[in-house]
Amino acid sequence: MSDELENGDNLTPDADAVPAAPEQVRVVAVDDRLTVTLPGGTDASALVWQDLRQQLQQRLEGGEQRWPGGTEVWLESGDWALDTLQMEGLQRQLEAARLRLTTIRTLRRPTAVAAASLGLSVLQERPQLAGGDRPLPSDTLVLQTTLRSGAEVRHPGPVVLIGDLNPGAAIIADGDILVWGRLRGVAHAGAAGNDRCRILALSLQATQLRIASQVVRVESGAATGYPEVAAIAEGRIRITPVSLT
Amino acid sequence: MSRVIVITSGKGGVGKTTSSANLGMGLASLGQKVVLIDADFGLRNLDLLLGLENRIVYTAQDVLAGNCRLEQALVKDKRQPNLALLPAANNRMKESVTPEQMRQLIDMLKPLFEFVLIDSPAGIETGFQNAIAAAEEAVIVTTPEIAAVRDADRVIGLLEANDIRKAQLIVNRLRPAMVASNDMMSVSDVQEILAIPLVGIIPDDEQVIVSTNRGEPLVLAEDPSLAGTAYRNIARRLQGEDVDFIDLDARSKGLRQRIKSFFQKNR
Repeated sequence: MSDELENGDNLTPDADAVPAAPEQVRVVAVDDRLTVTLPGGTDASALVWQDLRQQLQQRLEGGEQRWPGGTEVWLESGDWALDTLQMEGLQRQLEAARLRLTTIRTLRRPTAVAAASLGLSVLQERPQLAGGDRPLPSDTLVLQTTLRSGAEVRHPGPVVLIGDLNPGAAIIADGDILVWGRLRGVAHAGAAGNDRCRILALSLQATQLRIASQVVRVESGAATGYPEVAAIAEGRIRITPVSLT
Repeated sequence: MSRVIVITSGKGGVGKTTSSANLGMGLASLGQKVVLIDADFGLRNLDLLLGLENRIVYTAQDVLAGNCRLEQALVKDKRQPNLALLPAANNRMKESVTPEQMRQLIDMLKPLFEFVLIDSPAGIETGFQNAIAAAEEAVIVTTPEIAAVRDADRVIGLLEANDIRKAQLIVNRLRPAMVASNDMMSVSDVQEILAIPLVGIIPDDEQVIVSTNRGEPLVLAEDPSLAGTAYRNIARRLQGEDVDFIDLDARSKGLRQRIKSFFQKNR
């Protein structure tokens, strides 16, 4: 596949115009409980809410192996005004992943009322970002799912996907991207500008890859049958077989 | 003076995006400077039909958010330099495009192109409202089926309510043999209900599926299929030429007569 590469296009001159990652749903384990933080937003129109639920589902997928059943969950809902139905939906979604929603921290009265009516503890105060103000660089996001068309995962660190990245889906990570499966969608490693980031996949069938401010198109996304890695060498993205040396 | 045309249908799956891709490519090969806008935010397909998926870096939403300049988001077609695509984001979180922003985008595009074609999503909700917000005329795509025609009729009414008076009709996926045996609505049946000028008839053609899967619009073919020729003719009509309609009946009649005579010979 590597010899089918076209000349790498450069995203510059507006390199810093690469879309900044807005925060998505975060699931972080602190001590013996999980904190689910909703991204910035206030009112949940049906579509936005559906997308949030989908994001949360991706983050929870495969979590059973990582979090023991019955793990306590705190929800940081910030400015979101959520009604009882939405809150109940969240609770059920977390239950399905064998997690137990116990506490909600919110700034909004309707959310507090909805939570209280479901018998949850309510803290009406500013959200507290688990793990300090900004996520540690080593805060790797591990997802076990199929990312389908339209899904977009943004993460301020490395992303490991156990499953396929389908065409039309995207992972935009500030760190490396490792896909334990078929990579057929868009992968953007080092999105914040780190050109030493790499994209690794068991089967690299992407038609377009991005690292830092570089973009490369691959005309034929045919599978090679062995794992490959994409990295910047001599100023452009190159794809090589993964070697163990 | 550029023309802003929305391609819409109401019902899904009748060939809006196929028509958009072929008319865009058709007009561009006639020497017009054309931009295609994918207004199907969240479920974009136009890039696939044009074979341009892997060239997309920025989308219309990035332009609106100020993440890039308009020229960076416009995807140029290698095969046809007169054609550009303004892709949509394939993500609902970014869906909050307003009709006002759509007008803003089109105002930016109008000085650069002679034709601005907008591929509308199915339905008559937010996406459709965005698609028609800045349109000045419309091409309605329908198939000869009552459900599609009913939806097309509704859409024409909505367009009129939004002061888009110039609407022209494409009847897609016509099967002349079925029409002849009274199993399918004829073009004149459709026109009787919709009562807008006809700009083209596209026969049902397997080549459409082939071209969709390859990302090569029909009009590009060296030796175009019947459907490809029909789209080329529509492109010419859109730029004001008077082109005769292909006589689809003649072919099927010819075939039937050949079969009939074959049986008569062997009797």
